[in-house]
Amino acid sequence: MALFASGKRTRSKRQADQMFATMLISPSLLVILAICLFPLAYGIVISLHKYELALPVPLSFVGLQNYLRVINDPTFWHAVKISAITVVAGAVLQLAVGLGTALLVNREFQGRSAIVSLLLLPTTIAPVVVGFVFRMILNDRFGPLNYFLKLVGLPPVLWLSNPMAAVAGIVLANGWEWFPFVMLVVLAGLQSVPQELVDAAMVDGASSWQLFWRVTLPLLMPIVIVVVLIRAIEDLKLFDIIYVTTGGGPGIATQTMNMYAYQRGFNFFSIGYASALSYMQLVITLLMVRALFGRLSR
Amino acid sequence: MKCRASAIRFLLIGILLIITLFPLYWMVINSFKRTGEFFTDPPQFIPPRVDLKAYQDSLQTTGGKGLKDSLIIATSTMILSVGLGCMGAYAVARYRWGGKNFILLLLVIQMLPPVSIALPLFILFDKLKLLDTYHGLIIADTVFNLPYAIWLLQGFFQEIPVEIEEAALVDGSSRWQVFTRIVLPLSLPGLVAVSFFTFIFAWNEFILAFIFSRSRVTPLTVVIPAMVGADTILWERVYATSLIAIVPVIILALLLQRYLVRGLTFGAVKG
Repeated sequence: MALFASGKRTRSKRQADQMFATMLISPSLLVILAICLFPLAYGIVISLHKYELALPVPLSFVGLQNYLRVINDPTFWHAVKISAITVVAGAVLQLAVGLGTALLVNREFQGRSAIVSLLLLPTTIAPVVVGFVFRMILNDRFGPLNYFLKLVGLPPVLWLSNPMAAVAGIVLANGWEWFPFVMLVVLAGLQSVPQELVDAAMVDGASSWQLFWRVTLPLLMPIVIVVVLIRAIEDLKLFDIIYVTTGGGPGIATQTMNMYAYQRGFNFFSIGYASALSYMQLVITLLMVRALFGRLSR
Repeated sequence: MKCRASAIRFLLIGILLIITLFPLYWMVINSFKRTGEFFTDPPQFIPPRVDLKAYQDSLQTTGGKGLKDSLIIATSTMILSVGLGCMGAYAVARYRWGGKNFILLLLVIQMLPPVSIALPLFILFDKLKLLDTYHGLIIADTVFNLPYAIWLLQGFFQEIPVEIEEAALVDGSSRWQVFTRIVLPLSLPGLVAVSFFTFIFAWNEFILAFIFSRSRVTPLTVVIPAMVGADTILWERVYATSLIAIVPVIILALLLQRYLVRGLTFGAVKG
């Protein structure tokens, strides 16, 4: 940074720099202000009102009442639990498979780049489509997954009708789509592991198991935390796959915070309450990110 | 010993490939089946016939319109996000516009629960008559792509040696000329990667499209779930339309793999 934004520039030049930068950013800023921040502020105002589109009740200011109702709403806490399970189980599954795959394909071999491209395909597919494929693959009686389980002598799982299995089914479908992303990021990280360190450990007689746990993984840790953070943020927003495979059911078994806010807002048209729900979700998201970021900076 | 280890490695890679590709295979063969052939015990793994009837039916009904709408929305969102995004990103990368707070704002926008923004936008769009229009969906998609585009692009811009730009400034180029004639051409790979990404995001986007569309503007992600009737699902049509939706993206992904990899890893590795 010599000329740009430095002392070498005269004051008028720096002012012109600022003018230019502001001109460049203003279209983006305008869009973000008008279509994101303004609606967000408007949403907070709505969440302080009783606002029912489907019922003949007038719009009225109720203060924090919607938020108090959310805190006392057992369905909301159930949704928090389901969200937490999908995020944590999803992160564990995607990390385990993604990291494992990255280690498998890290070394050079013939056809490696073709295999990596094939493994990457799921991440490019629309989640709606993923949901529809898994809806059939996970079918209780006729789905191929239960057929394969039977072939290897395992009992069939009621993937979409047993409450816990339905959550597992969604974690599986979403994991299928996103483990390649974890693989790719970890692969990039593996390239920055210095070869000298690996060689030194080998010379000292470390087994590949020790090499992984004592050398590679600690070096990968920052990138692993970042990738978990990205996946956790995204999985907390997960909607399409759940909507298509179970619709939040059976009952409310797979109803995440997201699904619940959607249902209240767009099926029951309790606009005020749904807004309050979605802001509670935002608070929970920010707390989660802070906790994970705390680990990162330590 | 060594030989056995590598045999296990290739066995595991083989299993992973099967897991990755099986759902795609399942979609293809089920687009060839007909009512009564989908749910059988044991499941049918070999397609009973290979024809394109379901694809024709799809394209002649809602699928064709869906394909057109998806193309319009994803292309426009891509152009808007990358166009606005590269200007914003340059201000952030070279002139430190907004400093850390602005970057933080971009990150928080990525964390917003979809309903928290979709709900007030729905009311606003309703008042502005933007529901069920291309404009509405393109604007909404752009907002969710823009922070990501700015974030990725500012990383690419920072990789350009600043000396080149300074030399051009000293030689009498204007700041705008430096940006359009030097920075943009030099970061072409970054622009391709981000364009590809914003296109896929908008192409695959569901919840906003689902909430904001009625009958006039129906991208593929909205068309596919709409094929689920009250008591029947035309599975062959669902899967044919699904393949119509994913094959263009898969072809692009294979052609642009280098850029896909850069785009996917860049945010995480640099962040």
